[in-house]
Amino acid sequence: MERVIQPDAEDAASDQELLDRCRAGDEKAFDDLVLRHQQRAFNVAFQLLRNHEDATEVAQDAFVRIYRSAEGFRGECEFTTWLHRIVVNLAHNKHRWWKRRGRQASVSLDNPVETADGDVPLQVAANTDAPDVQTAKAEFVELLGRRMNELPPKLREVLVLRNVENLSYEQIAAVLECSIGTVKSRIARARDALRESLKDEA
Amino acid sequence: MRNCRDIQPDLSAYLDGELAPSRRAEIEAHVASCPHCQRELAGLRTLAVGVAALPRLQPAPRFLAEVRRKIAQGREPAESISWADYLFRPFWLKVPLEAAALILVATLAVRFVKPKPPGDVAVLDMANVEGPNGERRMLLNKSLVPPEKEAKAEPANEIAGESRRRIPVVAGGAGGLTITAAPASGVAGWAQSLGIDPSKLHDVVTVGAKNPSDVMNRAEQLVASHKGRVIPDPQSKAATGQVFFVELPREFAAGFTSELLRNPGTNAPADKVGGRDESVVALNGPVGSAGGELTGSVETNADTKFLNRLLLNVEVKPPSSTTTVLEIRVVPPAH
Repeated sequence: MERVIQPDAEDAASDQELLDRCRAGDEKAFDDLVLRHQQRAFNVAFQLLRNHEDATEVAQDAFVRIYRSAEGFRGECEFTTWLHRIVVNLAHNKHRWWKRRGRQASVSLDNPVETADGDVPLQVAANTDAPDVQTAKAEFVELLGRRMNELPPKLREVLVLRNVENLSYEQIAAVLECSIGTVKSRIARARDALRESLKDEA
Repeated sequence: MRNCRDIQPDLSAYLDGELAPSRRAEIEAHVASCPHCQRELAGLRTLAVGVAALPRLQPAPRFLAEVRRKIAQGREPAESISWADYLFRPFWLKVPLEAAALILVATLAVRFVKPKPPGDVAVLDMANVEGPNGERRMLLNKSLVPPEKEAKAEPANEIAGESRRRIPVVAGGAGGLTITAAPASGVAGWAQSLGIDPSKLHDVVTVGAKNPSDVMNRAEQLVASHKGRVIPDPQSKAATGQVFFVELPREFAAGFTSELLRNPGTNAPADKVGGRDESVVALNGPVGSAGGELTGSVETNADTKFLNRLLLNVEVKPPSSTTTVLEIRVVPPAH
């Protein structure tokens, strides 16, 4: 079956190396870590929050926290697991923050996103299908994105970690600090909920 | 062959390759021969592929610079929700709820916590005022003053035709009030110098007569049968008793007063009847100590503050002494 390729051990080791150097006062090592993982952090945050500005803030804050907590991190888990955990937690807080203000954030993927640095082109995953199939797929994916946004955050995050970040159930359990059984049932529930919501659309 | 109900809960984990080999084999065997579960699996796969195809976004070019700036600024990540958020967000829900709770608490506090400043004395500031048609009206103010201030309060002072009186209302037990009309301090001191218990001072009787000694003789006749006594004031003019005191049994006080006024022992009729306008006299009651719960209502005219109606219900305590003292003032009769 479609077994996902795990991030290879060499990468994880070099993350740990960079972190060790960072702890030793090597600022450049920290910059390398940020550059290496910024897209991952930002993308996960964006999938969880569907808002460019908030995703940027959450991803940046995640690195700020890593910088501050590097001293205490002793490699109990992979660096990426740690990063994912921080991003997911900060996104959670952002959600609660919105909820308290009665706001639902979402962004249309059709529109370019205005940022302080100017427009950032939205990048859609590479596609080799014929143009009409591409259009249909893009529409489906766009709809899926909107429906994902309506899922409860706990269900959304397992789907993002599983299908966007390609993490195994074990890795997701490590990120969320829960059992594998919980991950399994949450993913199944998230997919059921998503299918139900897409049925309504059809 | 297992049925779909057994298989479907694990289709999602099967798709992710997260099942044990034996369970995976069961699922594969079932799906191979079950069109329904094949469709379910295909649906789940479309979904997984769709989520994986969600657009990847690039972070802004200044991402690292911003991270560095935040670190340099020492800014804390927005990890925690501020206390203000916890308290007030969302506004539309929490603010009205909190306001309602506050009102409820305040109402309960007012209902159950009776503030009672210990030792404070309520002062009814009263003025007897002549109404436009000559009727008597009274002005009442109620204020709380500390005991030491109350003690200094002037017993009587004439202000522009209004005679003001202060009646100390001492906070009594059980949330009630004890109303005490204190004798004027000047008179009390005077009476004390004559060996009279000031607390027995009951009333002032003003008698119109040419000869004060006649009044005094008449008073002596009247009290003799009631085991009373006349106490002359040596300071008074000619020691004839222009002002003198009479001590007599409490229950005989009213009868004595009316008798003396009706027949003061002179040929001059009493031209001025009544007490010294002591406040309780104004309320048609005897001056003295009265204890109990003060209930009632005061209605005043909003514009003039004239008292329209005063309803008081004071339960009077039994007097501590059986005798009472009257101050008799003899004044020349009017023409």
